[in-house]
Amino acid sequence: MNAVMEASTYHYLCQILIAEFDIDAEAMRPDAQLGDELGLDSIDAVDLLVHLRETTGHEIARERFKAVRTLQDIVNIIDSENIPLEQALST
Amino acid sequence: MTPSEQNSIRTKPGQRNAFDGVWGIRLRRFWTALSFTVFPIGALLFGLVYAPLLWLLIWNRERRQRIARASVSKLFGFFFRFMGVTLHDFHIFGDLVGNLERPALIVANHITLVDAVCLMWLFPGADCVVKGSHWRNPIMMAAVRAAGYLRNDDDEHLLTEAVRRLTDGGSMVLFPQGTRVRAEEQPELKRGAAVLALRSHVDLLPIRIEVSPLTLRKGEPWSSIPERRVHFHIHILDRIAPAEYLASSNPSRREEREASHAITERLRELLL
Repeated sequence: MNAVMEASTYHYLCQILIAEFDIDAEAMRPDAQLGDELGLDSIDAVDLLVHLRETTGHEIARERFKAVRTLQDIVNIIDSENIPLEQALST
Repeated sequence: MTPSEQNSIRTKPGQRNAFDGVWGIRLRRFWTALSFTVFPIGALLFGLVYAPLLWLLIWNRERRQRIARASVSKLFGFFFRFMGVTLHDFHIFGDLVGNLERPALIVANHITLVDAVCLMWLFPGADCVVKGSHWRNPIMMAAVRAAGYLRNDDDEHLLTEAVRRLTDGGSMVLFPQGTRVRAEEQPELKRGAAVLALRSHVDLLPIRIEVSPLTLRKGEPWSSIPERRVHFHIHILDRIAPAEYLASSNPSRREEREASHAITERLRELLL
């Protein structure tokens, strides 16, 4: 069950990053480095947190996000906080 | 005296003058030591006497910040020109006065310790994005607090608050490379400045600072005196209207992101 949930969180996260942040779909891997490989910077991090807050109502602490290095790190935070990521997909 | 009036040519670039040579270097070493004594004394007086008076006498925060910024600009102008008596000759290229009339996000490359001092003098009343550690630095804390500058160590607050202040019609000074770099390093521009301009619909005013010979860079002690008197040149370039990089007035996040990268690339060409 847990594995399925994680897989879908990862899937949703990729969709958000592709749709909202124009990240190259082929570069997506759970262990992809956010900065070097996906080209995400600190402004994207702020925008992502704001986007998640506005669409799901969940606030992720900035301190937790500072240690994030890979997509899987974000997935772990989202799962541990039970954030319904599907709500964050743009319709 | 306004900055543009004092834009006089004391020495032609490349020409040797009395501030070069062995005695010139000795004089400039003495003057540097004097300058770096005058600045902290002035800053401490500001913090211990002037700032508390402002807090006591002017209760309206906006008005107090306006007065504090004007004072900071005057003090920085005095200090920068005081240094310039022997240490540098200073020229402005481009239209300063015309650009003071309309608000802008003023973006410059960052070479020396006194870049911000110079720009805060030239743009009185401007807001400034300042290193967060200055809020705990005994020399700088009074000035940055009284003037209500923006600290750079909280991304989300910086982003929203800077957009709010720029949308309100204020000008702001920002160094898109974040900090100075060491002699052996290449500066990298971050796209924050472009994002702020795009979100607040304010022009970017790029300013290229040229310093030769290079001095007061990061990691460079003040006591290393350049062999020649420094040419400190400020090039005020043409404004960049962020809307020109957008196809629509209501861009998606993707479009805004793309435009911010394009503007940052343009700034890289202009400033570095």
